[in-house]
Amino acid sequence: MNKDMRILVVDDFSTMRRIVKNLLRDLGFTNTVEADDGLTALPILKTGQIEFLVTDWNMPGMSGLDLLKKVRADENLKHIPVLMVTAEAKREQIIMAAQAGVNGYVVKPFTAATLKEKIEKIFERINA
Amino acid sequence: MLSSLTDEQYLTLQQLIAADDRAGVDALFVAHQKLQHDELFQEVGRLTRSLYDAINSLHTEVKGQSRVEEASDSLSFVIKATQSAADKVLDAVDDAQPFATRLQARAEALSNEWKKLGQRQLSVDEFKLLYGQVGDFLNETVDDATTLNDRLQAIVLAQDFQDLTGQVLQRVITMIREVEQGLVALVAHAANVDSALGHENPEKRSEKDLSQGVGPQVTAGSSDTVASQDDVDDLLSSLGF
Repeated sequence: MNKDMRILVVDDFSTMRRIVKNLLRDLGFTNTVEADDGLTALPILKTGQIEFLVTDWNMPGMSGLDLLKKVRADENLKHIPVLMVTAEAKREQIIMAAQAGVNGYVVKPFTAATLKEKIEKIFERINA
Repeated sequence: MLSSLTDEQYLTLQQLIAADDRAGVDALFVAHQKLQHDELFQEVGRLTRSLYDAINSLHTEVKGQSRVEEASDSLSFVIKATQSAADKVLDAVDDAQPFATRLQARAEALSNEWKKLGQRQLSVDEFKLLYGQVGDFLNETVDDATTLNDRLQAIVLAQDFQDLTGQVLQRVITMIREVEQGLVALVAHAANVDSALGHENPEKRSEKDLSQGVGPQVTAGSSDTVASQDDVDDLLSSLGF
C-alpha cells in the first residue's frame, strides 16, 4: 500500500473531514484532499489524481451513494476504491452501497483501529 | 328524514296524516328542517372556534418570535457551539501533536546513547556531548510538557458546550412537545371538519428515500438497523465481501 497515494475525503461537516484526515495522517497517509459533497468531489476526481475515495453518505447536493454510482459508471474512475464512512446504518442501505460497488463500509462513530483495518483490508483485496 | 324525528313529532305526524292536514305536515317538516340547520351551524361554529384556538396555540409568541423561529435559533446555536468545540479540540490536537512527536523522537535518540553509556561504549567526548544533550532535553521537556498540558486544558475547556447545548436542547424538546399537542388537536379538528364535509383522509406520505440518506439513528434497537461495526461486517460478509 502506497502511503503517498492521494486520498479524497468527502463529508459535508468540516469537523468530520478533519477527524478523518487526522486519523489518516496517524496511519501515515498525508496526501489528502477535501470536498464537501458529491458535486464538489466529482471535478476533483476527474483530475485523475485521486487513488482512494473516503465518502460520507448523507450530504446536500450529491449524496455519497450517488457519487459512488457516478464513479463506478465512469470509465476513467471506476477502478478507484471507495470507503463509505457514514452514520447511515439501515441494513437496506448497506446492501444498496454494496450493490453500487462500495469497497468498505464504516459506521460512525468509529475508531482509528476500525478505519485502519478497513483500509488495509481494501488494499489487501485489491493487491491479492 | 323520518328517522330523525322524535317519537313525539312522529306521533304528531301520524295524527296530521290521519286528519289529512297537508298544511300541518308541511309546517311540521319546515320546523324540523330549521332545527337541523341550526344544529349544523352551531357545530360548524364550534369547530371553527376550536380550530382557531389550536392554530393560535401554535403561534404563541415568545419575545416577539414564534416558537418555530425560537426553536430554529436554538438549534442553530447548538450547531455553532458543537462546531466551535470540535474546532477548538482539533486545533489543540494539531498544536500538541508536533510536541509529542518531538518528545518521542528525542527520547528515542537519547535512549540509544544512554544504553551505550550503560555498556561503557562511549568515549569521553561522546559522554560530554550526551551530558549536554540530556541537559537540553530536560529543559525542553519541561517547556514541551507545559505546552502539552496547556493544550490538554484547552480540550477540557472546550467541553463546556455539552452543558450549554444540553440546556438549549432540553428547551427545544419541551417546545416540540407543546407544538405537537397543538398539532394533534389541529389534526383532530381537521378530521372532524373532513368527516362533516364527507372528505376522505389524505393518503399517508411515502417512506423517506433511503438513497438520499436518513442520518444517524437516534433511537437504538430497531430491527432494520445495524447496531455496530461488527453487524456491518457480518452483513457485508454475508453478501460476499
